[in-house]
Amino acid sequence: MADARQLTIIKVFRKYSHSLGPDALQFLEEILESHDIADDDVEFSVETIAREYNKQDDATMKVSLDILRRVYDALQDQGNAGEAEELLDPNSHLYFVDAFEMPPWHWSQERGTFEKSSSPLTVAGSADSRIAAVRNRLHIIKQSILRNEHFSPSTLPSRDREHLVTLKSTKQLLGRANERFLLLGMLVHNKEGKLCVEDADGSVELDLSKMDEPGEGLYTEGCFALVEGEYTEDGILEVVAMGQPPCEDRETARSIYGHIDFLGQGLTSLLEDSQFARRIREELSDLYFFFLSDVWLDNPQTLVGLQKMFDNCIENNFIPKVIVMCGNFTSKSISQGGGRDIQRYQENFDSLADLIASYPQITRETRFVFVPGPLDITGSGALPRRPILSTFTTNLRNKIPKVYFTSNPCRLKFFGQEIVIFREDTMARMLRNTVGVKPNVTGEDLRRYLVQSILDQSHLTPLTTHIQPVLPDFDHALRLYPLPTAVILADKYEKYKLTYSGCHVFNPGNFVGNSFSFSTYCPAERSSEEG
Amino acid sequence: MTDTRQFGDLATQLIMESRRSTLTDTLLKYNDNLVRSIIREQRDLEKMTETGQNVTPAMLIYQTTIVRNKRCLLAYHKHRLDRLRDMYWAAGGALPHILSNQDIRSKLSPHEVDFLRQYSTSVMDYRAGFSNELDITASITHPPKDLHVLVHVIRDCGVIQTELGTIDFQKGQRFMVRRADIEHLIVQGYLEEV
Repeated sequence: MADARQLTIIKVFRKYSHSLGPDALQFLEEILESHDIADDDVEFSVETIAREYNKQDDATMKVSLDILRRVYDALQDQGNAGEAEELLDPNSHLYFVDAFEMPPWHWSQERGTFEKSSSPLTVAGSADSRIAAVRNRLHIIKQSILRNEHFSPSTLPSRDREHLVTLKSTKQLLGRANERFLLLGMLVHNKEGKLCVEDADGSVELDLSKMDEPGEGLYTEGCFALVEGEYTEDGILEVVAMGQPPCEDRETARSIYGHIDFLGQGLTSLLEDSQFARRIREELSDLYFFFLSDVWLDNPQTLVGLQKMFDNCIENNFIPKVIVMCGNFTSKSISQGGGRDIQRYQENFDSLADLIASYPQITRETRFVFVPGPLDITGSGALPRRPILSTFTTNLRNKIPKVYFTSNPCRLKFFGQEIVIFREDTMARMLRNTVGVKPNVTGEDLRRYLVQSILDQSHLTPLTTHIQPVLPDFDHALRLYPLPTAVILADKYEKYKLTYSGCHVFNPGNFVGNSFSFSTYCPAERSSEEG
Repeated sequence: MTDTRQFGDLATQLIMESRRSTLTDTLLKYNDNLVRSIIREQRDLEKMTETGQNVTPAMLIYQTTIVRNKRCLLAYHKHRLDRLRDMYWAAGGALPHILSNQDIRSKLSPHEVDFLRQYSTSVMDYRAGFSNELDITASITHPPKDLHVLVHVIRDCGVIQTELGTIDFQKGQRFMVRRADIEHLIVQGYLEEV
């Protein structure tokens, strides 16, 4: 027979159409017990929990203990954050998302939306997933183009409708020589080594000789491009114009796919996002993330520089919330090195741990994130790259409580913001693999071209798999759709920062080479500064 | 697409879609593309009305089209909201029950999900005043005749705590239980009245 307290609990949950099992009921009773809640307040307290539970996305009819515990912990955090419960607690909204933990969302052409794939993900991938990965990239770009105002024909009946070129497929070219077509497809070389554009239906050879200058951007082998040209009798497309697909900003994409949890860390609705954004601006304007790249631990200068940075933080009482250290953690590759090299690699991490631990305030409050670079010892060279092998980092783990070893790329979710961190020599790799036409630009323009290409392609590595191997089952982790709030393209190239389509992209640059330079990112202003 | 298109054709498509949805009693996927094209058409029409210096008879046609398109858009969204509300009450106010259904979820636009959440909060707030006396989410078409009811378990739901003790509902079993305890289980399709 249930006592009065149990009756109240059951009643409240029934009001929300939930039923309790004995374990959940007992858990709730323990909560009430531990907080010494008077009988009069029981209903109110349980009501709060039930309401929060009802908001959870995966809530089931029968209350599950796991979700209930999660809800309770979240409430607990909110309570502890500050006595004035109005203040935001950044800690409970800061997540580090490993590339291997992101849920696999595939574009479904039939239903016109994203679908979660249920098959287990493997490192090897399957024949199907290899195809699906590339198709996903094509379809995601295509659906955003079809929505773009420049490509959807005016709905009004008018004369200039006929002049407008609409997006066609390679299937529609056959037998229509001397007509003009606009195609979207991947730029690849066919078996004879000729450049062609390939889409979901087939491929057609390109003749670039008639084209004077392509649209802005870097055209690499494996990138998707819009090509416009005349189809000739010989089955070749004489290209007159080539361009990068248009980019869709984060707000538009979110307004359509807002109910899809791309990161797998719980959803925030658009409404909550805008509220959070306002409150972050007001309340958390002094919160900063530090980004360091190429932290060569084998260079004696590095630790000196880090020490200087920490000293500065302490002096000015300016403790960053997160410090992200990107590889390479060694200045020269040691994957072919001997036992001594590996020993030294590990010792370098140990001395870093000692250095950080000597600043108790930073150790206590700051979260450290380590992103491996191309030269670090991880597992394989294919992207996404596994975290640094744990044998090297035992000391760091022991000495620093809030340390995260993530994959490359990894993502940082902070309220409604999504920050992608990617350590790869992107600039060099993209320039080495351009096809057809080399861009005749340098400096500022070149950087803009790079950023624009990466964001337009909605993918961190718009290259074919023989240039940059990618694990096909985890290709979605490299996807940049919906557009993130910020992308950190850590590169050995010189540092830069610029904003394109509302997405802030920057490269912190080499830490040692540039007299200890790094970048600070301020979520309140969504912009970065050089440190 | 044929060339003999006229103003407001797209809006008609939208209305046909809601009509089809009512006739077949199914929830169709939110037609984001069509809504977007109509809004674009509205913008183009708006531009056409603004360009002319003096008022021409053609403007009257544009204006009529704009107003008609707007009415069609409103009708479509009203129809969607009505359907969502019906769905909400049919499930007895069990929002997670609706939202965890992937099939339904994929047909909703994110704004509709927001609407359902807020609607549910409002209903719960309203209900809080008299939840002990009356359960407003109970069915009104079939008023209960008895305090107790004989139910047949359709889907396993495990051990459930009720006010009179625990019951282990397992598929295929029959129970005589107090109606108020398991009302929501009937509505959500776990139990069936015999």
